[in-house]
Amino acid sequence: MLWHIRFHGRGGEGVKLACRIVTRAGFIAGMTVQDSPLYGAERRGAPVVAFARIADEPILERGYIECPDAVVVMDASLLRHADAGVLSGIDAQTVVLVNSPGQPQEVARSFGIVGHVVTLDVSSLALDVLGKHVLSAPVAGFVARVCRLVPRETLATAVRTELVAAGIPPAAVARNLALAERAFAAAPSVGLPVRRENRCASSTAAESPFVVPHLPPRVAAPTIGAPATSALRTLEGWRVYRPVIERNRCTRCLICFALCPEGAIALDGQNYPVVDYAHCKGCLVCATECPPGAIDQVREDAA
Amino acid sequence: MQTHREIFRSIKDIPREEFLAGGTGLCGGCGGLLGLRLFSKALGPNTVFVNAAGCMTLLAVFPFSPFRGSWLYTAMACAPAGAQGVRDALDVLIEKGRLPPSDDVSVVVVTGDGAAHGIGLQSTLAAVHRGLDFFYFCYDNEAFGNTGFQMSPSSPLGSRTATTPPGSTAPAGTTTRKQDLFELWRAQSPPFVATVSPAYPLDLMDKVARAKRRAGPKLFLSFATCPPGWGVEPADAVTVAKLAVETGVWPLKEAVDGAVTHTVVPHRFRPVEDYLVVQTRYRHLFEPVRQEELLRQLQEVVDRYWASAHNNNG
Repeated sequence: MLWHIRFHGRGGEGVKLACRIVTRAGFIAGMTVQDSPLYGAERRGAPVVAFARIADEPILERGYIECPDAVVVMDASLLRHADAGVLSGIDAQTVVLVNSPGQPQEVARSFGIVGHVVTLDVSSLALDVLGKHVLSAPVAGFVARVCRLVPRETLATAVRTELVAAGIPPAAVARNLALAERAFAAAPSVGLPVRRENRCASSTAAESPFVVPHLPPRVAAPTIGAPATSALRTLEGWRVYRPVIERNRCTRCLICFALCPEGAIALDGQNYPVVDYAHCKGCLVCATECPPGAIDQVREDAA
Repeated sequence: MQTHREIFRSIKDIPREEFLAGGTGLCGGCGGLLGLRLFSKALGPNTVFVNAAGCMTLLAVFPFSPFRGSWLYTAMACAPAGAQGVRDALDVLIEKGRLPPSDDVSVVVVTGDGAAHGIGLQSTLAAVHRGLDFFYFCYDNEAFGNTGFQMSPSSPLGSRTATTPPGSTAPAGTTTRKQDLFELWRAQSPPFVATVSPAYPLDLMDKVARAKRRAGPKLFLSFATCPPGWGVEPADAVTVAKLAVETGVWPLKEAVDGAVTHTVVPHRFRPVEDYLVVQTRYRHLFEPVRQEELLRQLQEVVDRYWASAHNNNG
């Protein structure tokens, strides 16, 4: 049997490491494994994908996992972004693990997920134990339990092995171990679908070669002909916390406006700062630098 | 102590207008982006950016660009050569009457420290040598941040990078000294060379405004906190940049026609350790064992720098 697990999250949340821990656990348990993350240039907050193959036989496939047996959604905000392709290639049997405080039925309904949805509020667990939105260890625990991959002890060994190799100091490794075990204990045991054939075998078959026509640079080069088009993108899903400016405490010193790396703080007619939430990445430089402390950090509602 | 600022005296003088739109894919809390945003505010909208491959590649991902004007993307080694081509083309068009002089734009190279200090150094120094009229904005995060934080010639002694992890053979991590781009430029006496920091917006913007009056090569070496590479929280990006100046690690200075002036000098320098201890790229200097000799050496480098700066009235 060969199982395919696809992880989706955002840079900085520990997508790559979560996938490594899961495959490490499979390896320790005597299985054949393969793990490969995929991201563009490194960016905190940008969508990241990682692929895990786990089998009790040699793995002869390579490359992207287009038809996963399980999809792990580490950041539910990605479900709103069609281009992240979180739900591509799933069917009714696919197990969809979502980091969300919501009930599985609600999450399935609101995002139109056809697979078997399982939810766990991993973010709150991580913020509770680590005080940081780093999800690699608890997500690995969540996956190991839901997919019935390995027992708890094997998972713990894998967490320790990978975190030590990543140069994490002993105290933090201990906290992550406790966190992974908490997630493991809190998650339901579901198992992975047993399939007769690889649903995506057809798409990996060689096709006739596509000959790229020779075109002049004006046509072939990626030129952008309009100004400031990046403003069309919204970055709301990047935030774990949002900055909220409290007017009654604001002295209108303009420090936040000056120091926002994104230029996402404008000034209104009375010189009060106003956050442009469509382009705020939630870095919270404004809240840290605000002299009177007039900027609150409010946790973004989970999906 | 700070020098008399001419144009940007108070935070109220910062233009409201943004010349760099939001929606870029750069990391939250990127010190390089904040530096470039403030730089653009002072420079105004009539610019063409020539971008060496690096983190700032992510500014423009087809079909999205944050720039109002043109942005030309080059390989790592040759942004100054690209800038030369753009500047020459503008000059030719103006001379032939095909472009009114009022439509002229400033040519700006944007480069990371990896390209600036390493593979792009020869084309950079050649452009300075030819006296090319351009701005050169280098966001210095002290490694090749775009590809996973590998060591660059700008990586400081004692810092951890992906390719210089501290271990038994090299407990310091990076064993080489940070290359001094400011001095490499200044050796050729271009009209304007400056170090800037996004934590000091008025100092940064005033330097840009004054440099605008001068033709020729103009360097802005901008301190760039790198949250993922340095192991600091995005929210602390500006705090860390302030610490770099308050400890004397990042001197804010300018050299006009080769003569150096320090533009912001702390009244009392904080110990260099205050800056190191907040970043995980320096954690091996403190844990599991304090590397006393190396910490002493890092403090001494800074002390020596400022002692000679004071002696030269710089």
